Amino acid sequence: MNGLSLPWRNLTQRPTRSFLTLLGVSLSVAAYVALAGLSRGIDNAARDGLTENGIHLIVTERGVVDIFASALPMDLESDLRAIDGVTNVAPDLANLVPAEADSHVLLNGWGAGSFLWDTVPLVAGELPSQDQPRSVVLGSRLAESLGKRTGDTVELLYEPFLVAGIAEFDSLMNDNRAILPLSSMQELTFRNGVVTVFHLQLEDPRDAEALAEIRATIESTWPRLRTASPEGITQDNRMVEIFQGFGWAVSAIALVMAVLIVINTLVMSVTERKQELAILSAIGWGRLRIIAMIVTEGMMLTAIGSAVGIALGIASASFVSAMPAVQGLVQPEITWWLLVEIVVAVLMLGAVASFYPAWRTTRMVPVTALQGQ
Amino acid sequence: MTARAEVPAVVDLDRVRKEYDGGRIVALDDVTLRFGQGESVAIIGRSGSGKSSMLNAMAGLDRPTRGRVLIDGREPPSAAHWTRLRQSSMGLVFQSFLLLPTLTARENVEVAMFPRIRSVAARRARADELIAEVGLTDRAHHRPGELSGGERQRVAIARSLANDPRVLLADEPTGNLDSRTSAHVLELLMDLHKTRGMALILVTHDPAVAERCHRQIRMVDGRVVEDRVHGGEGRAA
Ligand SMILES: Nc1ncnc2c1ncn2[C@@H]1O[C@H](COP(=O)(O)OP(=O)(O)OP(=O)(O)O)[C@@H](O)[C@H]1O
Ligand SMILES: [Mg+2]
Repeated sequence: MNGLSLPWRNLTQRPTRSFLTLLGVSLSVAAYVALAGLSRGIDNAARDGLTENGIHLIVTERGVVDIFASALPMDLESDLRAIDGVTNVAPDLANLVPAEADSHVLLNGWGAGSFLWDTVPLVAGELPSQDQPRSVVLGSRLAESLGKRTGDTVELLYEPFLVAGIAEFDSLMNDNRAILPLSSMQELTFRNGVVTVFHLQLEDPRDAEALAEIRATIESTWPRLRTASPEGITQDNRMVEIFQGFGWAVSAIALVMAVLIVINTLVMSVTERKQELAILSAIGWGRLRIIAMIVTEGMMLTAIGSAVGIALGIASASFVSAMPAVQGLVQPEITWWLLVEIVVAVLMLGAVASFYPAWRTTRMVPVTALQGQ
Repeated sequence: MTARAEVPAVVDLDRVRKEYDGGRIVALDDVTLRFGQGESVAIIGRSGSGKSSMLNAMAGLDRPTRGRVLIDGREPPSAAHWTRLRQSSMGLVFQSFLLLPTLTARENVEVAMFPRIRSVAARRARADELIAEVGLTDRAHHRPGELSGGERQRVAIARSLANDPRVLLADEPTGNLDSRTSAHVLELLMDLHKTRGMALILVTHDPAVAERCHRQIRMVDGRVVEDRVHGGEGRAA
């Protein structure tokens, strides 16, 4: 029998309670993993999508709640192009639009001759031509989930479109979208002359000083504009902030719940076992040793609970990201680091949570509990 | 009395008083006693006369209201010191056995060695020896719930020996056992007392048990009314 056998025995001795506690801890951890993973995933999805398209800087309307609500006049394009260090400007009118089978897809309208078209990795068909306004190119994953091939017709915005080509993007977000000529996007969404965002290519995107200068120029010339790098795209975005804030709040609550569950279980369990603890004291166990045993029990519960919770969390995050409503927009970003962070946090919380009941029961004089039978 | 003065004391009670309920109950009324090395002492007296209170004070399981308990001539200054004494020089046996129900007989013995012996193998080997010493080798892997009262008490005795104590404090060790089993357990205790030369201080209601001890202390209402050495069996050489 080693130092872990006794706490383990104490847990397995009360299987129902230990199981329910484990369940509580796992669900809390699962909620935390799923929410943290998804909210980190949003950042990465947006960044990867933009980077893949060779975008160095984006310009949107300042202060919009939702990036799709950004509305900029198209003629800004030439002004932005005139800025020193800016080599390319591509207007993009983007929105989540109704598609076939009750789904929503990300639809991008790109201007004729935009550099963005050059980044499309076509695997079948061709790019939609500007004189074929009702034609689109589909990301391969979107094409697959809609069951479309080149030459088929796909319904977007309640209108039939010809699938001109299919492209295989690396980024999940990009690979789940459809792209069409800007003019037809504007017409179909009643936004003539308007775009959501300008994508900029710079002379030297690694030159941080030049980048900062360009951003300052844009933001001072047009106070209603906001610039963002691909990494910073989700910052200052109210929708994402709301989602992430909500996510963090819920995950914090989840962790607090886990701690309370562990405290509650251990308070009950040590109260029941007062006599056993007094016996240990009578046969020469010091207070610290007894506390360590109880804390080990708490940490065993939280360790197993977090292992199960991580598995559940990954499963539910993948489930959420596979739901039609979010499909392709967010892929959970569950890194080893996130997991290590969670395990460490939960173990520490477990230790703290079990310390209190341990300390409380070992405060008494042993004889009181020895008699109490 | 002269016999006692010659042996060095292991436990000294110096005007020990124990009150409960804010002084309304006086369990020990200024008890002064000295227990020498290797003695066998029976503490007798009616129910409620303070026998358990005295034993608990001697084991540091309870704090006297007044007075001092000295071990080897020194007063343990803190709870941690008392814990260390119970780890190294005192074994305790109780009327209700007080075994851990989730552990087997051998594991109950091993648990007492946790503070002192690091190696799992060494603990196990030592526990096996002690289990054999109390004659329970074939029951070593049973839990207390699967053992008879006498067997449980033998496990408790094996446990009390885990750290080679110099004093064994037993509070009515045969109080929950029938007369035949009692005799067995008593035999075991007397044997251990003799072969190991450790002091045995036991509380009992049973005059036959008391007779086996070298010294008898009678308590009435928290006071020592009789302290008699009759030079009988059980005096360690
Ligand atoms: N925790 C306690 N609170 C209040 N009174 C107590 C407590 N423990 C013991 N007493 C009282 O102290 C007195 C001495 O009790 P003690 O247990 O020492 O007697 P005892 O001689 O061991 O009796 P028994 O033979 O029944 O075990 C009794 O009057 C008892 O009721
Ligand atoms: Mg008693």
